[in-house]
Amino acid sequence: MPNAFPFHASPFDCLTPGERALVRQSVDIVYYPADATILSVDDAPEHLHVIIKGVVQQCEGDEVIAVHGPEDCFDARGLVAGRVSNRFVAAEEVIAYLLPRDVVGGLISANATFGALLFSDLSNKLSALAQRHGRHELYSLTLARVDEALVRPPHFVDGTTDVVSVVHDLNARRADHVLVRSQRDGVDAVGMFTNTDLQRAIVDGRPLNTLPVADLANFRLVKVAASAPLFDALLLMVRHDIHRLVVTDGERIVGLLQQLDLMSFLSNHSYLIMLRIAAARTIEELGRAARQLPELISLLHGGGTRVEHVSRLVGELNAKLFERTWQLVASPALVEASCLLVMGSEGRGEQLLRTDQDNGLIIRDGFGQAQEVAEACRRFSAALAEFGYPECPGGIMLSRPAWRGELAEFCDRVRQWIWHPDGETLLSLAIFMDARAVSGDPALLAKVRSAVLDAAAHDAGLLARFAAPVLAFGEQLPWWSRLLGRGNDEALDLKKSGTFPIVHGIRALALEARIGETGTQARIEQLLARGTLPADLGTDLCESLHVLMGLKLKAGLADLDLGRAPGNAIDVTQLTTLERDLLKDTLAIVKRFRAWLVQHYRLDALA
Amino acid sequence: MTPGPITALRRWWQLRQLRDPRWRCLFDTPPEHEWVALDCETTGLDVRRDEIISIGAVRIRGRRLLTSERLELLVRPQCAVSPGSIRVHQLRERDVADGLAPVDAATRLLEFIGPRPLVGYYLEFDVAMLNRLVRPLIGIRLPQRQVDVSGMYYDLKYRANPDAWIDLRFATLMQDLGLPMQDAHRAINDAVMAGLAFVKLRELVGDR
Repeated sequence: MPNAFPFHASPFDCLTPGERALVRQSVDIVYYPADATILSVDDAPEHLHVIIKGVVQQCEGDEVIAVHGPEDCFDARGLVAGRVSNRFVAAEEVIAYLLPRDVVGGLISANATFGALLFSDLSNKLSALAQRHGRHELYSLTLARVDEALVRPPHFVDGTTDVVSVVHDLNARRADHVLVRSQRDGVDAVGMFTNTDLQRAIVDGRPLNTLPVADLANFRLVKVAASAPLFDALLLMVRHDIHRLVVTDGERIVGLLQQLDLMSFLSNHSYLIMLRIAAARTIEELGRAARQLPELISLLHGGGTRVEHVSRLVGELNAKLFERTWQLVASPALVEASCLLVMGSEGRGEQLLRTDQDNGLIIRDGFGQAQEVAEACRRFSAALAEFGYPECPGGIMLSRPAWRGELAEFCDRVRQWIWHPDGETLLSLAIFMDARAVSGDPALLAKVRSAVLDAAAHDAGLLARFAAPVLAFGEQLPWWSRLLGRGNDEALDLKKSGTFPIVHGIRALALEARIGETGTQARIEQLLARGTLPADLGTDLCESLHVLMGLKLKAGLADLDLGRAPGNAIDVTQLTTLERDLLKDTLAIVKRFRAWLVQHYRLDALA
Repeated sequence: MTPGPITALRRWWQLRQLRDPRWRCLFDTPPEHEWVALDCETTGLDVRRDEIISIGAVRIRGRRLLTSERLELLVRPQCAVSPGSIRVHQLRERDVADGLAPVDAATRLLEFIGPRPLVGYYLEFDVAMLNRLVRPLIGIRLPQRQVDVSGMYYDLKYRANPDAWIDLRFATLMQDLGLPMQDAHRAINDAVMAGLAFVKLRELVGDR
């Protein structure tokens, strides 16, 4: 069975034949019954788990923050840190390989790609944790310095200490290096003793229990200032072919920077992509950054980042990308005198994988220059299409005259939608409700929005017609039979059955309550604060939306892997038991919400 | 578990028969929660005439199979390997020609097992085959306690439904327990799978 180890799966697929043999030799196999706690907070893990069969939940408190399935490995972060910070529980019976800590460490130092793959995953987990505490922007906005990465505190021994005592000390601290203070030619000096030096010590021939460690320590340390850019530290490691740098503050040694920690920090992709977008000088350069986005999303998702954080981060990156693109195609005067909008899911911040462009442009009254504006808008849409954001089939893009205009003209247009509602204008209204400013003057958008809210909020007939499509994909869908996969392999449309009723129902309520927020979650919070929506229903709806987004993301990534365009359909037979249960609960909540909306808008009387 | 009077008597008798005192270690108290799962591939199914050509053994500690400390031995048979059995285990005569002499294989195996109880699927057959290797070396049969996975499975099924016919084929057993089958009929794989079934059955039916 050790020969069935998943060498085809990342990160193990990059191992050399020799390294594979080592893995095969060193793995054990473990069995956990359902509900067994595999790792608890503060455990010092001895192994990396690689799941053969079963599902493991990673929990913080009572909250499940990630789910791991076959061929996934955990907890790399805890293994490197020497301490587990989440609880890992077998959601169903689990069989897993156990790869010892020292073997994983050895593979990391021997095979840089393996390290990078393991850490790309790891860093995203770290950034997910950072996001939970609102510190994510730290990485994306500042140029990182050495002391922002994990600098480990220094540990010293005296140079006269014998090698055996030093090894005892290393063992006790689970460390592989120690700093050595000694006198060299009458001056104080600091050297380093590592596991590699231990090999030299053994070959040296003198008895180890009397051999002073200073005789074998390396006193030519490579140092880096705590305030130096992190890239410099990376260059030093590459140039000197070393794994550790001594970090100094003036003359004082403040710690050690290890290659692992540096890589884990630098492989934070969102940070790198943000830098590339900001630095792009041409559309081609921007395009290269844009093409990294799906990979980032895949990594974040695989790394166990919560789906709402992924969507928020992707929303920010998209916004930066659109802003930079607009700056490159439009004149500075136009950028300053206009407001670039994104709408639909992008506007709500619930976009995950790239789908259609939904955007618009509001221009300050009296700007004129119709020719220049049209040309800039055309180039903008073309650039986005080039980046892989297909043009909106409904034509909701600023390259169409209907979705750009000067402020007064735009206000007029939206009022017409409300005063003369039909299918087309209600759709436009729904899309515009989610508009968010990404570049230029946001006050322009705010003015149009208040025009919409003023005109619509008290029109009960309009509100009911606006909300009515929630029922359009009504109860005729036999969800339960599909969920149970009874003789029906038809895929389930997540958007029709779940996402749309939630998003649109909440959008209608937001319009009625004159709520200016664009995100569904933010709208729900506002509705709860005003007592419009029952508290339990609101919370359930937020969670349901996140479950649906998570499922859609997973299915979309699978589609991308297969070279298909991501859609809204999921194959329920591909879901794990856990996901199926979540989906069942979610659809029940959607049904409850629908019933509540029918009553609220008296939609049964409308027909 | 305190040994009953018959076990104690047998132990005393076997100790007396023991040829070489270095094997007294086989009678020590086994380390707690440790077992050795094993499986043999043979030239055929005749316990008296056929011979062992490969042995796979793996230690079990609690819920863990210590595959990193596994033992895989090829044994040089004295007689020809039957074509039918080659089809099962895919070891040809030339593959086993470099194998260990039976006495060396037995020594390595006994050192690996020590006093730990043995675990296997239809262990009786494997033990009978192994006894032919072991007896010339130490003068007695394998003295360790033996746990048969098919027996544990039978007990479990019988308890649930005494009237039903119980299919004890290995593939059925593994599938029913929801355990992965991999590359059967290699001694080490079969030993690992039997070990896995043992660990799970122990969870289901309690300690053995």
